[in-house]
Amino acid sequence: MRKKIMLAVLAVIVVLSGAMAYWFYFSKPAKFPTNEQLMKQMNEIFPEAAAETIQDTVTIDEQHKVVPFITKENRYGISYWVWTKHKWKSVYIDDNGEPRLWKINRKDASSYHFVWNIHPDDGVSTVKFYLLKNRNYLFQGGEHFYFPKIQLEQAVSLDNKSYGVMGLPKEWVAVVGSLGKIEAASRQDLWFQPLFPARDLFFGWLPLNGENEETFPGNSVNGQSYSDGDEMIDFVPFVNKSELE
Amino acid sequence: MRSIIGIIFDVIGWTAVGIIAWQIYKKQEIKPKIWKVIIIIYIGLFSFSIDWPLFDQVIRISILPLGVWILFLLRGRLPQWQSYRKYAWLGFFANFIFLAAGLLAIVGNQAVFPQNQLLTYLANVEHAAIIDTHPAAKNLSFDKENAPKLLLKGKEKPVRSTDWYELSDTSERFPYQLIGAKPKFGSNLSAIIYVEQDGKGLLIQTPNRQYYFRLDESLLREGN
Repeated sequence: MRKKIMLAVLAVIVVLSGAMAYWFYFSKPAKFPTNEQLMKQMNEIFPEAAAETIQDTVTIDEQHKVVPFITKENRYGISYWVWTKHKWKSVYIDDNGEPRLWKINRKDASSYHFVWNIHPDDGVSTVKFYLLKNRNYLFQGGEHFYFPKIQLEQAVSLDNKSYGVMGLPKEWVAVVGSLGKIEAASRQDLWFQPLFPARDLFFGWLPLNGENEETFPGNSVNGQSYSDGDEMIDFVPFVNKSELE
Repeated sequence: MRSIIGIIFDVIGWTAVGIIAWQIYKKQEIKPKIWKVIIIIYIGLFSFSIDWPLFDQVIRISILPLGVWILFLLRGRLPQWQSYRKYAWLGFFANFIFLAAGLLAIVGNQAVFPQNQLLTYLANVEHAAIIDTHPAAKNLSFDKENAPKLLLKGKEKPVRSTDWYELSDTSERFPYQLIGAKPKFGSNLSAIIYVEQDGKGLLIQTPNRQYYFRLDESLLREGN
């Protein structure tokens, strides 16, 4: 009899902890915090940002949101929010809005998103994003290799809106995906060193003013940032004009 | 991903091991436990081996029967070790059965999915399209109707790596990528296919090699 009771108690514990774990990790996201709550939370964990105005909340998907904000010192920043462990958590806060690439799922390029919040004083009217890979050649083990230059461009007009979020165009996703697939296959054969790792691919950006000339966004760079967690939110470097063809 | 040929030869290898095990089992007077036999064969497989690259694949040559030695050291704990001993050795020799299967798979792969033939990579182009991967690309699109018969006549040519690199300057010889083409069924090949400016050349990048093919006419046509 005692054994039976023990078993029953054990079963209840197992079921309960399973349900708890499910609730903790897999339940639907709760309502997103209000602007006041967002600011309070941000200024608690990263007082340097001193957020004063929340501009908007941009939804990437059910569990990933981006909140552009303006600081007391009139800087334009961005905070990144993830629904994780049953709460909305700020995983990254940037007090400057130069573009970053949020790789929500590292293995799936269709989950990559450019995020930016360019200061209006910088006079940027168009942002050009690039996917680049340098031309190269190789002679190895009696075999010749030629790697074409890849240069894909996507222009985004800011249209008086300082901030924005953009997923990779589907062509970019195809290019990044096909390179990743080849790399994974060549890594299976450890004997062969990977010929052209996907890391040879890189992203970049160029800010343009109203006259379509390159401009330096002095108010949108060199800020401070706060990060917590293992989200991949990558810096996007300026493209050097000499890298473009 | 392995090709369907590789998987088939693997299955044949395991079947051979199973048949041999069954032959041993039938002749034994004291019947061992079958689940124990399976575990013993698995442990017997464990060996010190060297990897040898051969035709873009790695073959594994077993040298020392580590699994058999371990079982031999533990024989005191295993009642009726004598009736299990053969299975341990069968496990070790299975390495050579798989080696043979692997070699046959290499030959089979070359025969069924010849790496130097265009149709291996482009068996089905119904859903294929091009992406402009460089500003040198013109506003062209993939000619689905004519492609199959053009591809049939593709000829392999050497990859002229340094020439292309030096001649390119600020233009790109291969400004398009062909996507959505299906390789031959069962090959499980992954490849990136770049298309030459004139639409008559294809540079195919596999995980560890490149092939270059020329066609009689362009695969690309004006407009969309």
